[in-house]
Amino acid sequence: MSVLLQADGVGKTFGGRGNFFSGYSDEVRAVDGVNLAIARGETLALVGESGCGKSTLGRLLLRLIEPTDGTVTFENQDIASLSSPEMRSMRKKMQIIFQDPYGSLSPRRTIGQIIGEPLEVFGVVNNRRARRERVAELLQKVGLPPETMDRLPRQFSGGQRQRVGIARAIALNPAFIVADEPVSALDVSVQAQIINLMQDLQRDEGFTYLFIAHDLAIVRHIADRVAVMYLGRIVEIGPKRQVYEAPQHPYTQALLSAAPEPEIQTRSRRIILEGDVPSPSAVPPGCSFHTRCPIARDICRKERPPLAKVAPGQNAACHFSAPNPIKAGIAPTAAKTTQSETA
Amino acid sequence: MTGAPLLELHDVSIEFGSPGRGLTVVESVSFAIGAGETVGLVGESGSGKSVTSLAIMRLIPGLVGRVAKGDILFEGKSLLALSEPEMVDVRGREMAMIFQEPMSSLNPVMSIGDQIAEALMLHGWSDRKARHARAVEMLRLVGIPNPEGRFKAYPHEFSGGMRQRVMIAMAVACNPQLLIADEPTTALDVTIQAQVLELMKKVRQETGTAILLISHDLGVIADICKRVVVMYAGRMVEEADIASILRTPAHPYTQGLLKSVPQRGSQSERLYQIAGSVPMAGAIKRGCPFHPRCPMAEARCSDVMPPMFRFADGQRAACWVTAERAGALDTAVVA
Repeated sequence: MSVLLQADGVGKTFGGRGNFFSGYSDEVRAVDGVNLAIARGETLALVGESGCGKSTLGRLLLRLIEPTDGTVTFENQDIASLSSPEMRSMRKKMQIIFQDPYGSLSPRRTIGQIIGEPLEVFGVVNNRRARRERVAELLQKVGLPPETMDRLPRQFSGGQRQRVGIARAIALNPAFIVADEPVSALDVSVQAQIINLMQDLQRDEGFTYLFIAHDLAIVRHIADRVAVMYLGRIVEIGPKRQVYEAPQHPYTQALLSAAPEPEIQTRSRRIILEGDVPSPSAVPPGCSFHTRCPIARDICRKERPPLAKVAPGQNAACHFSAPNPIKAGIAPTAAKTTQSETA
Repeated sequence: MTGAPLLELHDVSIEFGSPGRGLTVVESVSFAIGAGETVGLVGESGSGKSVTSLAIMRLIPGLVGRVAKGDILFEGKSLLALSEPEMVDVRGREMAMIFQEPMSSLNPVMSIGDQIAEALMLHGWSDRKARHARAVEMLRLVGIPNPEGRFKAYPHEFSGGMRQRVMIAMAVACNPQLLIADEPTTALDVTIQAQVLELMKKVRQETGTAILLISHDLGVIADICKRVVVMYAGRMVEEADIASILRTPAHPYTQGLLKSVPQRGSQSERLYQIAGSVPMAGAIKRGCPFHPRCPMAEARCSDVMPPMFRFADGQRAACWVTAERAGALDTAVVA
């Protein structure tokens, strides 16, 4: 499979110049040195907890925000080097679906206007009738009756609004779609509808997805590959099955074990991490996970482990990477009693 | 459940708007919680689960809404019959509540220790030193590092997970018999959620408090609850122990909800999906509220709301079709 999008050392630092009130620099390193490649037609899931930089990375890949370091290559072109007309035409190929189906649709415009706007902006349609025809076709694709195009967003439920958001994203027939938590604002019984729709569209139209999510059960269902972020860095990336069954980074393992599932016998091996995620403005030195890691040793506090190959197609950034490293029996340091197993 | 239940809801209906002409957002809900028991209340948006919990605490302002029908008993006594000052005494001392938003449920201009001590003072702890000691003890119980030192810290100095710990400390400070937790981990990250769920189990073990846990997440419910009540659009549709809910859900809504969550080890390409969207509570006035989305719906489902039928092992569900198939129609119908 060919590479559609590639990120090389992409980073983003917010702030840093100090402001009127503080006068001192307070940099937030939201994304730090991310390398990844997304193949055409695949779904790469980006998971991590709030503040880990996953949404920022999604926006960097679309050049919705400018990176402070590194390059993003889309269809073999460095998108940072594109002039604004060139970037505009590139935008046809890269779209985004937002989390909040309430905030992301203009409340005063009809569904038809919302979906039709990108068609007009890019000159895909040049008259009202052609626009309405294309909008009707798009509504059908996302499972909404075409006669709803003259209604306003408030007349729709959350799930239906998310369908509208998807119709807008696919209106220009893009190659790459960033879906930023597309179902987390929806009721559980409606989430499955949207996930199925996204998969149907991918099968029919060959879309490539970057699926940003924190729900690991949904990611397990939809993803081909999974990338795990912690404090702005990718700590593990690999094929879904390998990452779920044999995570090689202790954070991945803890994250997977912490997610409660509606099942009866899963509660024996939960790893409870102590403490909170450190602030991205004060990332710990060395391995940024060492403050919460049950198997951290001296080297982890000093040297940052590189994201290195640990298995075919799977990379992890840990000095002590091994399949399921926490129960692999690496002796925890004396001070750490982080692992708590529940009955 | 042994002996008399701690909390009983009998055929409770809750109405919003003007009396008699308002919108019924919760209708005919009946369940009980035994002393020390942990019961989960599951439902999606508009199911009436939070309104039910507010009604138990009598926190719905009288002008806005009210319990229009039925009764809520705490240790056999009607909470609805209490005067407001009597109710104030029950709140906090007998039953306490934790909310979803640990950010906005704490007073930002009062130290966390003082907030816990205030709750104690309102419930008769007259000795200042004793209050201070109890507050520190509670902070230690919920795992706040250096509790003496943190007594004077303000909410903004804590992370979300730590604030939820403080909320729990405050809620259990007066040793309530019932703790109502409304989506206590929904605003938290998954590794922090795991910490708070562990903490709730520890608190339950050490204080013996009963817990009513309200959540939309069956995973969270399965983690901590023994028994589950499922609500949909203002109606109670199923009640059973957690194992029965997960293995043999009796109501088509519960069945659909479980099937639509991706399962570990499932090879299926497509997720099971429930058609349509979640209705507002009280929007469906006739028949079973789930009938427009139900794959098994028959003519009678749109006509008459089914009662709670008794299935095997104390499982109860309000469905004509599955009750008939399970042979539950002949057995006693419980209100």
